[in-house]
Amino acid sequence: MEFIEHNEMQPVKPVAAGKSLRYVVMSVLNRVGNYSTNEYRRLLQLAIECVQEELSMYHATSLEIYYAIVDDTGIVQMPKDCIDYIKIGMNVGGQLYILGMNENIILSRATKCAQNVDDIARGGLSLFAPINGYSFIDHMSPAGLYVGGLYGLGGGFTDPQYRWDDKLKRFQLNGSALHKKQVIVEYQSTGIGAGTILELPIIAPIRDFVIWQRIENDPRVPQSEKDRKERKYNESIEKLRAYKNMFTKQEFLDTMYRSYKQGIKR
Amino acid sequence: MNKKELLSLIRNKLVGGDTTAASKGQYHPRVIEKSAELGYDEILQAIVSGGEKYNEYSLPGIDAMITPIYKPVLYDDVRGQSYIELRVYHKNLAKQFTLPKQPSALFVIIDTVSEPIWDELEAAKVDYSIGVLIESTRVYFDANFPTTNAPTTILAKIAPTLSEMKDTDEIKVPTMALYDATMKYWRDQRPNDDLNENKQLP
Repeated sequence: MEFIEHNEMQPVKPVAAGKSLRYVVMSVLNRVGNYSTNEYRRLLQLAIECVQEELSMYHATSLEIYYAIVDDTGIVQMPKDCIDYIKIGMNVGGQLYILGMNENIILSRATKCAQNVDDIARGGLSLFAPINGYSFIDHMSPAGLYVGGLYGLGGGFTDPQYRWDDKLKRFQLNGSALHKKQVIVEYQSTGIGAGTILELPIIAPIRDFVIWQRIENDPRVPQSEKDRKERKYNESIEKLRAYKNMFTKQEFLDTMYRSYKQGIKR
Repeated sequence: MNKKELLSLIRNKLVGGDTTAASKGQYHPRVIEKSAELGYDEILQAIVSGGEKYNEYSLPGIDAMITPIYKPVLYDDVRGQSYIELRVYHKNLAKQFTLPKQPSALFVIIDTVSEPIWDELEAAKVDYSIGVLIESTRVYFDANFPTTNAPTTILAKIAPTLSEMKDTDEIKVPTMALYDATMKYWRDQRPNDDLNENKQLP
């Protein structure tokens, strides 16, 4: 017969470190004491708007990776949640090699889908494109010594080049080397999806935003109450900003060490 | 006091004791129940308008009135939606709709005419909870209701109208208030007997 003591610990389910938007809305419902679901969808919409419009843009960016195939016209169309791009490059041996930017590439607004920008720009002639799209000439001599003249001789890996078309949220690449090949894009995303995981520091600002916006347009609520909730939200944003801008221990030590000098040895 | 006791109390007050069988027949229990429903609806309306006046989306006072009601799921071919036959007086009186064995499966109560707006907003794209549309005598479920392995029974936790209560359910409002509201419909109106002209009925 097993004897179980009364103070034996029951297995505890861990509290998750990543929360979803649904968690935030449930937290708000709990705070206002509403245990039915007739406000749920309205509050969820307010939470989504907070993440998209207030946080993703200014305080808490969300980085996403997109593995894209370049089409025949050299265009890489970004997904709908892209706010702005961070990097675009090719996968060479497991490393991301960034393409070069060229602000003078003609942006294609052609009405025919298959028109190649190169053909428009150069009248049908396309420049020689190296094999696999990149060329890298080693700047060490065969003896293993550094030879400055060889550095960047091949043009590096900046052929082909890209231009970011902000209105249509897409890249325009020139050169035919990357057509139907894969490029990797890192971009700033709205951060909203079906399984969005939010990090803990941004939970409080979203919650305060929803509690504020819930009463903001209600004429029955006194103005002082609305002002108070808005102030509380602004304080949450300040705390988030302070948290995000904290330096790490390593950054602090780096700064300290940089200022160390050795005196003259006599 | 449960529903059956209250209705027999009212019936006793009206035609109890030595009244004739003819009179007793005019005050049939179903007739009394109908007027008691009118009285109960009036009390529910007072609770709901009190809540709306003070901007309360959740009415703390009705937690005591919440009754679990089980209803089978039916399918409406014309609208292409599943529904249950349930009369809900006001959407603020409906707390929760769940599956009987999974109380955390979230059903979201949405306004019946808000669907075009929700389809355009992001909430409809991010959240796949089943929406509940409370219409006059039926409660419909929206397109997220599962079609494979569809549940056959829904548990509704609402503050019910008198017609949805079983005979043995407790009436949670102060019963004298309901009695007065019911008797109000009977007080001034006496049925006339046209066969015996001008003779007052007892």
